[in-house]
Amino acid sequence: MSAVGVPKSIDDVRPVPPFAAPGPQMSAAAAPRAINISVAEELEQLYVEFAPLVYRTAWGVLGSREDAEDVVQTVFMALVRRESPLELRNPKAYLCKAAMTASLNVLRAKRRRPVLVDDAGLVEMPASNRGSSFDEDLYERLSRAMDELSAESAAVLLLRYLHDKSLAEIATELGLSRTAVAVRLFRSRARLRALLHVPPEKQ
Amino acid sequence: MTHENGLRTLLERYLKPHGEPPNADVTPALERVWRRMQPDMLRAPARLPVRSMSVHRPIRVIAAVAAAAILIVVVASSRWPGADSLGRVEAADGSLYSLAGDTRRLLRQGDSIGLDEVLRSNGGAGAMLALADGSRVEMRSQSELSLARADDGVRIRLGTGDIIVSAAEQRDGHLYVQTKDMTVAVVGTVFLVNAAEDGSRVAVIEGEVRVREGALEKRLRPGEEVSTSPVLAARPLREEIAWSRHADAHLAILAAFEKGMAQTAGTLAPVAAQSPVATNPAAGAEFEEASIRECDPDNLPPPPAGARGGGANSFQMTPGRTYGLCLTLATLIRTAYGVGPALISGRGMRVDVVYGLGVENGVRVRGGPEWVRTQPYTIEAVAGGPADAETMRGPMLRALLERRFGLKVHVETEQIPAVALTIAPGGLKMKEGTCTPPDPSAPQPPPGTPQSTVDMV
Repeated sequence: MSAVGVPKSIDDVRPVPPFAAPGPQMSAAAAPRAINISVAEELEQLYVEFAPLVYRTAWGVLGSREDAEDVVQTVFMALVRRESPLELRNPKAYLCKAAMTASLNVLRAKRRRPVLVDDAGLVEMPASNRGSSFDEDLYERLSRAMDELSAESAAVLLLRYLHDKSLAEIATELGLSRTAVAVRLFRSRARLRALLHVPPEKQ
Repeated sequence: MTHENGLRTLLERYLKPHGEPPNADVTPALERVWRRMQPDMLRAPARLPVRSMSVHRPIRVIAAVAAAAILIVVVASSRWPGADSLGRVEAADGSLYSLAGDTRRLLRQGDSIGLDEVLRSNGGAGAMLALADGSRVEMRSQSELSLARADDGVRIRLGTGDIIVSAAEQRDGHLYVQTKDMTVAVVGTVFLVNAAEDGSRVAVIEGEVRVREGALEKRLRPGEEVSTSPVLAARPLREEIAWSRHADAHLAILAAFEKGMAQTAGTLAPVAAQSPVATNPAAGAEFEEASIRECDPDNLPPPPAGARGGGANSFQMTPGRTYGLCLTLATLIRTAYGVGPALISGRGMRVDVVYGLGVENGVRVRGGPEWVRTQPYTIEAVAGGPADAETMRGPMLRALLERRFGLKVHVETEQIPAVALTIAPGGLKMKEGTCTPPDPSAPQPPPGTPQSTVDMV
């Protein structure tokens, strides 16, 4: 297993197209930038800037301080331990998706722990705390669908619906134009529907 | 909007069922994680280019195309330098120069460091060098050194100033630091060396080093130091490493060690033999911080500095800290309840020993789903208060497993067939051997030689 929850190559992070170059409506600080992860100081900069997002994302999925801390450590140490330096064109998008993927991996591992009712057994594990209406199959498909979305598409989707950001806020944070965000959101929704095999009218 | 609201509901229900964390919890949590990451980060960055034998340097090229400015990121590669080069400049905040006679050449990030090339750091926060063996050398401003080859490794000649060396685990040799009156030999550790007009000083932050001054040799552990200069010796170590970029990490390591030593001081009497399932003398003791993550076998961290062995299925404690690398939950349970082969003797476990725990196969920990015996986890836990090795290995590890895995166990004692080894009626046929006892002062076997305790199941 490679680094948990982090795309395996830079190919997983789609480059920002030329039309998304910083425009007058964006601040220089918000613009996408290349970061050489082999430099420790830049990792610290990434951590200060984006670890809160990673933590909040993980906490929202897992609801546990300790599990969320482990996700933060997993995501950032995966950057440190890469065999080769990683160029992040859009660090926020990359880390947003990495946080969700790592969180889902942890949740998946936790959900593999079934109730053990075995008189001969010595180990007893707790049951999942999910409600009975939780659709396990839909959840699995949703997890796989998130895996298949590009980092920016996943980030747009997560920032919009889980972090309640407006299109303008997402555009600023990801260094995209508002039009580009709207287009990505539309395509992400369509892609997600297709990956989930859920007809639009049933959502 | 109906579709959008439906999707929002779906995502919130499945991907954010717990909502937002308490705001007050976020910053302390992130600070805890940052501290936990420091020891690994100290070692990891320099390994990256070494393992791949190349480094990638981003070069920004701005091109004007059809009146539009497009930012293009080009990835170029530069190889490690040739045979005469022993490393490269990883960071140079201020001015790092290569001196040759009366001329000096400004060195920048990525530049190679030649054999016997004299380097001087003149300003800013000093410089960070990455050696080809994976070690990192942090130079304080106003320091001067050169790199040379030794018979079995690399020699850093420190002319003047301060350096902090994070020595990588050496495969088949040593890393040496030489001042005018001392030589330090290491295989994997973090330590400070001062070189001044009136003498030298060596202080260990993590691991163990051998210091030779003339014919005298001494081993130093974390927090210990030797000095040939009373002036240098009078300076508190904590102040002496405050200039480092990683001062917080170094101080945290020292603090953890000092905390552990404070606990063990005066309590070094032999541990009384215990029943395989120990009573709980430290009920209520828990780790202050703990990280439990699924093991990533492709990215195994190196063993702690100074330790040999390690790798999957290894377990090690240092004062105040416990590390378990790629251990199944069943193996952890077996260890926590003191029924593993490494513990069956009743002698308990000690700090600074890497134990190979093997894999619990269902003999001692029974029942449970299959993943208990197949999914490996990596654990790192830090004691908040005084804790000796057996307290961490036993009650504290049990409490951790109960809290994080929701573990509930019951313990049974069984009568099982066993074989007794006794002396035959005709007497013992074994004869005293002629082999020579090992010389404790003899050179250490090469790194990688198995020395850890291994289960014989």
